[in-house]
Amino acid sequence: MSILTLTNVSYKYEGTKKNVLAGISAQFEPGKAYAIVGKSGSGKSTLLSLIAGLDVCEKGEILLGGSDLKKIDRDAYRAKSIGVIFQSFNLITTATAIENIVLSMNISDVKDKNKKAIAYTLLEKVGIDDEKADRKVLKLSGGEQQRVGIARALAHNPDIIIADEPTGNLDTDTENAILDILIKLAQEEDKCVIIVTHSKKVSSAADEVWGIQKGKMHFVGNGDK
Amino acid sequence: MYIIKNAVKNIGRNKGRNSLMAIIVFAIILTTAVSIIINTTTAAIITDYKERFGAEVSINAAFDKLQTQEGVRNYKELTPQQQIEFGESDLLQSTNLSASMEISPRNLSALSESEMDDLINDFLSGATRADGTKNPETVPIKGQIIATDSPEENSDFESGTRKITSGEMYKNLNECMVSEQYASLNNISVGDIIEVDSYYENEPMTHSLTVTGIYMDNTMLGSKPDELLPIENRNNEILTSFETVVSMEIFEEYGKVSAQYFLKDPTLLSAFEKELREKGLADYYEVTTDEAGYQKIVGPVEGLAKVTNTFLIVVLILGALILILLSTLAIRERKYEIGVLRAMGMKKWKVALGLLTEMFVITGVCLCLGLGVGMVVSQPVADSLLANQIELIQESNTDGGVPASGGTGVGEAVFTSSNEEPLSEIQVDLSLNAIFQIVLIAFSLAGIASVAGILRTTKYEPIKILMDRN
Repeated sequence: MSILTLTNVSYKYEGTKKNVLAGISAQFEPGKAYAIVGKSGSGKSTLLSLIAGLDVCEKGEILLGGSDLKKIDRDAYRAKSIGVIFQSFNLITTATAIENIVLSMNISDVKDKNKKAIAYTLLEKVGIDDEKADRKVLKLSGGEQQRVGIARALAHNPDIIIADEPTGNLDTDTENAILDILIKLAQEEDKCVIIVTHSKKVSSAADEVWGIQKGKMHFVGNGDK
Repeated sequence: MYIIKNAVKNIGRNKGRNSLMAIIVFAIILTTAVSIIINTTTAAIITDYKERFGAEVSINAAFDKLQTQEGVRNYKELTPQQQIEFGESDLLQSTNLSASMEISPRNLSALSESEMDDLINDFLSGATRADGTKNPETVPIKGQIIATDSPEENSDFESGTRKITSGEMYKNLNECMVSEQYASLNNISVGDIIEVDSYYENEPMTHSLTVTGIYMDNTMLGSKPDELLPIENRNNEILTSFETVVSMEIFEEYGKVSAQYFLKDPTLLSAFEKELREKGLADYYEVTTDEAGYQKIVGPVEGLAKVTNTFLIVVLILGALILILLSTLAIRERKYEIGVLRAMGMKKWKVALGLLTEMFVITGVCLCLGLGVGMVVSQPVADSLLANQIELIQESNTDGGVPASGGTGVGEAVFTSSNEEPLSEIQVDLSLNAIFQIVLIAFSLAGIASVAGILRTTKYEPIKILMDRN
């Protein structure tokens, strides 16, 4: 059963005539990892920002469990229903790793009193120990920052995880580790994981691979798994 | 609550930027505090001066208008009734009315009385004049009645030149006080009733007064009564209320009134003059105020207030501009952070609240420091500025000076403030009103500066901010 449904989604940037996305329809289910591939400028990240509720589509609709994203409180949607992992991490650089996670929980209105303990556990789960958890984000490596980004996306236990080229800036070992975490989220925690990627390794690991070309999205095939 | 906590943490996370902001906010608050502390103090001094002294008005017949024959012919002295009526104005803060009247009590002896006075009086009384008419029959003047409308403010008793030695000050109609010597000479005690008469023997007017107190006049100690006329001997003065003297039949004929008028504010002079003209004040009377005296005394403080006011306005305008600029730059610098928070789902108003909280916490800390340092610094600043103002006023006064006559009469005005020295020192004070103003200004500036930056940044969607950065 789909958790997220896209119906005829179209989008064009202000001041342009050409649609970046032209009538895209797709369904995303929990417990699966999806890879979205395509050339640079094909509209992958644009699609992700629409799914993430960071922008709204011009035509069509994106339904979360039957509710159109255009009609719901998108701030609350971002805070509670999805977790976004950015290629450039987008962490609060002046804060520590643990502060980033706790802040995310606060924004998402997580009621648990012991947020800090949960945050340490989450960071440990993605491979960040307590010592590094207390470091300023800028004092962590790129891979570590991306792990913090993943932990932050998981902090409020969302059903959908969206990742925009999460391994794009990382070395191979780190890429493998991050990919492992994301795939496990789908397989072991029943999350719907949508990854925009250029990486063959990432698309091979996904359950389904979709390609975007000339504004349209096509099913490419199942991953190597 | 987490927004406040996060905002407070953010201050420490961005030490460099916030330190710069704090230095500028502190400088603005300090200068504002000094200006407002001085301003509220000077305003209180000026108000207090006006309340206590008002602005003394003089109504005097101008010499130049009386020099023509017509002027002399038309000239009429102000009647007591007119002077009393002039005092009944809403524009006046207070009116001091005093009256004097020469008397010749037939049943009482006077100090400094001599046989020579009787002889002269006998000689003149009833004598035939050159035009064939006869002088009225008179008796020697044996002293005078002195009356004021506010006995509790009688300057002689206030300054200690006169002192009540027995009984009390007159309070009611037809009560009076006499000197110790006068009481002794005439065997008068407190509670006795005395009779005072006019000096026209052929048509005497008599009035009875109850003695409520006996006074001692220090100025007469050591003087030689024999060398004085009875009218000159202050111990012959019978003191009573203005109300009493006005009610006497003798007063209508022979009483003299002296009035001092104090305006609520010097700027009300023209309105007061208009009112007097409507009440019948002749054109040859000039109505002037003690503007020069007021300027001499309060001018430096008013100058100081103007300087600090101007300074305050400049500081507020410049401060607001600098703060808006700094805040906008700081928030622009944090655009990415704002984008991240918005992308995580933080609502715009919560982002704005966080940024405002940061600014207000910085402002609050600077406010405490600014108030403390401002309090210490404002006294020497005020002293220095006031000294400059006094110097300026003295320089501008060397040509004109303070008019030299007041109250009502003929010629140049002399005001009671002529002998007053300019206010040469003020004790600045951090009043509650000043604290309120400083706090209000500080937080308003902080709010305006923050809002300017916040509005600019939060109008963008988070994706735009993040894309710009990426």
